[in-house]
Amino acid sequence: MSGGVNEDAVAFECSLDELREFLEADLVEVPVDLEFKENLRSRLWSMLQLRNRMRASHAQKS
Amino acid sequence: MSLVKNRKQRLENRSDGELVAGIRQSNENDFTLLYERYYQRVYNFSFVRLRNHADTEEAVQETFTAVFRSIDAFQGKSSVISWIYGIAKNTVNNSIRRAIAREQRVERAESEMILNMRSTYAADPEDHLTFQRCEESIRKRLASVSEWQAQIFVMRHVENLPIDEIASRTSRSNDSVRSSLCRVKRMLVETIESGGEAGQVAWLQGGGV
Repeated sequence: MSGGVNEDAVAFECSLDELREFLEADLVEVPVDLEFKENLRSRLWSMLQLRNRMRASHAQKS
Repeated sequence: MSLVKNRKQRLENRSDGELVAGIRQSNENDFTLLYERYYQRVYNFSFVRLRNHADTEEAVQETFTAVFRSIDAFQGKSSVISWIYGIAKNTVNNSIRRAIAREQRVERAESEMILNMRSTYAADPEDHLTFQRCEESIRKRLASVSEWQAQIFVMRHVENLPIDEIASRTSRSNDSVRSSLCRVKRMLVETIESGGEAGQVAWLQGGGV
């Protein structure tokens, strides 16, 4: 899994046309594997919880 | 009932920025809502460029991992949508670059293999014959598989379709699709193995007599 991304590095590279294209992708019907989707959701939430716990413990120490 | 509906509506009406703030406070509902709001969008955007589900799933995973890993660093200088789009675009571009490099490696390997095979054929006509027999027996075994099983195999391994979609297209259950794929794979492996043995026996007989 990749690391964090600097907002400045990516956010301002997008033109309106590109954003429109991103939104228009909603119109394409692509079937997804729902099991994969739910597994990924679950893993991402665990990652966020772990990070929050680590942050809280770090804050307590300092 | 209407309370539940109202709550759901309130959740759905929340802005991306509010959801990001909620995620930072460990709110799972907000996390799920943002994920649901963007999953299909990111998936479709990636699939249109990558054209296969395996690479698309990898790109989607990388994109969301990067999004949620750096959510604390998101300062709202841009909208959430352009931020996620930027990450998705970079991830997909990297995936395309990796795929091109992979393809070039495969092409190089194939060219080398053809050269090696040519020299093998030139040096050992018996080996050439073994390859031909093996190829022929695979063709025969594939012809013995029912048409729907062959179709499922092609959908999965040539067109890269997910199991769900294959099941829907062929009006069969996911389990039935999976077991059919296993049967065909096992049969091909057995064919290759027995073809190799038959080739070896033929080679030994030819050489011995």
